[in-house]
Amino acid sequence: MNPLGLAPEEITRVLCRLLDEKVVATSTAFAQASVCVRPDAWVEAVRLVRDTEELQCDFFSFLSAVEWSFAESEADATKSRSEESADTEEMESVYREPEEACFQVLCRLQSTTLGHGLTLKTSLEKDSPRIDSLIPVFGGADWHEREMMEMFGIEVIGHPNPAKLYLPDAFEGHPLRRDFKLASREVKPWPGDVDVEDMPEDAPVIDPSAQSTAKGGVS
Amino acid sequence: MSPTPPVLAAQARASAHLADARMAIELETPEMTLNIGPQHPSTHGVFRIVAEVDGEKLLKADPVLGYMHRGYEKLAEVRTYPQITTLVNRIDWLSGYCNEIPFILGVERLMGIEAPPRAQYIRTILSELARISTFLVFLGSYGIELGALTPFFHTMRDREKVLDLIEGVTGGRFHPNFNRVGGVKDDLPAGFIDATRQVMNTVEDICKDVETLLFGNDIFQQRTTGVGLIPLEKGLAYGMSGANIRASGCAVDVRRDEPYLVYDDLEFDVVMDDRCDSYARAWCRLQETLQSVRIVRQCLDRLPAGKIMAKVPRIIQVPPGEVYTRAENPLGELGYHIISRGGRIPYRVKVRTPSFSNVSVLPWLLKDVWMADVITILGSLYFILGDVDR
Amino acid sequence: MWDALQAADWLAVKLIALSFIVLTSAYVLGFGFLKILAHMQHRVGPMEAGRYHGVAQLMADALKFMQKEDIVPAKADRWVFLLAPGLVLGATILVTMTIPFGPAWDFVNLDVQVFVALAVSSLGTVGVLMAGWSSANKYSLMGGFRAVGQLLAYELPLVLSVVGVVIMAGSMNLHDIVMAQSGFGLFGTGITIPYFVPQAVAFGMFLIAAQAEMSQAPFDMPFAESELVAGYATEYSGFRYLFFFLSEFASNFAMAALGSVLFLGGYSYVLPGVALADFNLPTFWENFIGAGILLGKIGLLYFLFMWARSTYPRLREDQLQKFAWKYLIPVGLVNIGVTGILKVVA
Repeated sequence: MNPLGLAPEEITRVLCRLLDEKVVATSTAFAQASVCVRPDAWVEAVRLVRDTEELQCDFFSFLSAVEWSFAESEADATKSRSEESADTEEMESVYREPEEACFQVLCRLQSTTLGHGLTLKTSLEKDSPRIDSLIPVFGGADWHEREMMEMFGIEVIGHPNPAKLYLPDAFEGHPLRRDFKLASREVKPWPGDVDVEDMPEDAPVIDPSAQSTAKGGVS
Repeated sequence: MSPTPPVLAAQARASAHLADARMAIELETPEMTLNIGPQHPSTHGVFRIVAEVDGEKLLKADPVLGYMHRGYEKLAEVRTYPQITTLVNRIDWLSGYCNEIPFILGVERLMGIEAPPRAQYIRTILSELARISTFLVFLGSYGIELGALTPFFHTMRDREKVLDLIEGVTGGRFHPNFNRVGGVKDDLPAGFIDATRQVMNTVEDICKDVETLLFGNDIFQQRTTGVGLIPLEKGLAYGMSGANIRASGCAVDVRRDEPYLVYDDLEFDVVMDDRCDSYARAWCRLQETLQSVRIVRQCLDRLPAGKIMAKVPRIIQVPPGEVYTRAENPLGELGYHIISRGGRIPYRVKVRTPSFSNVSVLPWLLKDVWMADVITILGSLYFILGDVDR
Repeated sequence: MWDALQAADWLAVKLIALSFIVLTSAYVLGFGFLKILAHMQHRVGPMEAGRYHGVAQLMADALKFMQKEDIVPAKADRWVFLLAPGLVLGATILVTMTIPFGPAWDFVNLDVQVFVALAVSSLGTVGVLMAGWSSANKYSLMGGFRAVGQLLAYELPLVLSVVGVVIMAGSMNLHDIVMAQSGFGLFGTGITIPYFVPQAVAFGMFLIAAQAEMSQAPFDMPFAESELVAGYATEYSGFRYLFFFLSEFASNFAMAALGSVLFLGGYSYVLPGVALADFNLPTFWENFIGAGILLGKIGLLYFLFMWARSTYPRLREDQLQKFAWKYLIPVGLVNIGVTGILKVVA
């Protein structure tokens, strides 16, 4: 571990100081710093993280996105969680999901000199997600942004070559969106999903009398 | 000599200009577009470069990806965590075991589980064995790419012994799928430690042979020195990692910077070179193989007794959370950004593969280079197509 | 009657013998290639076909090649494409033709035989260029151009290295050169020694240039399987590819034979002070044993070629040219000058 590196809390504090009201949320859950900024401060934030003396995050790790959707099936799991953590909401170290459906762009930056790293995030509106290109800051964002464009349908403003990276040119749809269903899974449910054994307490209760008659029948 | 009248001089200039223009038209040669790949002997799979070539010079290269895109990130959204372990084995198929490590560590971190020390040591040993086997492939195949056939057979012979070790423990040679959340599947088999010590000696010998016979070869040095220079800032901006960035003079190694498994307790050097060229990249890999041997030996010495599995619920249910775990893979930094919203299936898994970033520098790097150097550069970046396309 | 028949059919007999030598030598050397490379690379090589160590492997390969479809690419320049492999093989046969195998066993005996040998050895270049150009394949084209550039660059060092020998022997006839070596005493002593000792520089140059002429590693850019797929032979299949394959080993044989004759004393020289002519054998036996001696030397040189081939990586195109023009040719010129001065002084 690099002794020069900042703790996650300090990283979020530095960014809050630098970007002020442009920071939407911060988190240090699982001992990892992540800072969510406003979309209009996206490029500025990345540039600051790279150039600020205390942060020096010069290594561009990856850029990607996630679609937060609160469709019926997916909301269940989180609803109970957000309720139970309501009293500790002030605490930064507790993990929280975005409150409303959105696209979230993630960018992971590491410092090669100081050893720490952080994830920058920004939430984009669901209907027409647009984000500025990071290529002027990190040349390596090129392919990552192209991938994000085709996979999520997020428009990257100012990208010099917004062609598809992986998919054929004629491909329609954005595969990593939640509403893009795997065709094979539509036809047949994943067989692996059913061969997981139930936990003992979840197992259906067997009627003892039925079991005993069955035994009697055999013997 | 009398001065030339201005009108005549102008005429002479004009006619000379015209002649130049005519020459230019006559000598104009259109560039040839050359498709390197997708099925080319030295692109490590179905990688394609659309190149503009002028004779032996390559002017511009445009990599085309996607011939092996398997959509892991989408597939991971419909699989349970243990099933994804099987899946991620296939990302970089030469070191399948290493791919499991950051994923399993991420899941364990989200669940708040830690594997027992013996399991951690076994994981470290297997990771390093996988690293050695991958680098042995590199050392051999890089020779082939430069036209030297012989080293390949020698390194492959010794890699077989390393793979035998991995097979002895896990039952699989390339895709072990040996990690479980909270530990490993089985303990080490009887006789493993002695066998491994022997194989490590063999690996050390072959590394020395390669160093003297291949790296010491004049032609090899001429072909690789100064070819494919990647300055440090450029490499970092493109997210290059592993030996590729260490050869550009940046001593980063996830094993040391953000220790996982038991790397904290082990002694090893981060191999670094500041020559930034193909030779440096190959040289770093050679030295790292020797460091891996050192790590394996230390692990064997210190291997603790004890359990190999922590107490883990039978069905892996991960509480909501978001975590990015990374590991130093043979090809570079492999990371998984796992987002869980509870339950048995992750909400999103972003796979940060090293080769994708390493290769993304190619359009910038492959400008005005010799055709033969294209292969030198591609080989020295050492990417696996499964790792680029995911 | 026998004499009349012999005189009438002499040419036909010679041609049949020549084809036989070329094909057999290509087979033997091809098999040697498989085995030498295999053992260098910690393998055993072919072991099954033909029971004994896979001796029939190449026979099986040849049969396989002949059964394959003879594909001509749609956009290829058809006739040029079809003729190219034959021309390459033909050129190699012509080089073999100039080699004297025994005191009386030769196909041609000319006063300028060295000159002829070197002249026809570059004829194959035309065939290679034809193959590369007519294939309508970019890799083939690049392979063809590389081959031509390389063969032109190394033709000169080859000639220059031979000039030293010619000066020493005082003749361009290969028989004379062979006999001169059996009588050449080092430093005026009676211990005879072939020209590879006094002409060591030329011998080294000859080996390097010959390796380049044969397009073998470290000079195998025309093929360069990791760069150009298979160079000028990319589009060839079936027996036409077999022709390229055969001519590769046949040219190995021819070059090794030329080297043996020029530098190792050919069919005559046996040991220091011992030459074939000293034994006063009947002519037939002298021819026979002489051919055996020559074959042994060819095997030795061939092993050297293969050794280099399995050891070295490939040079880059510009490095190859630089090596020829900047190092080999100046060294060759100096060697000629020194040889000439010594010849005049001594």
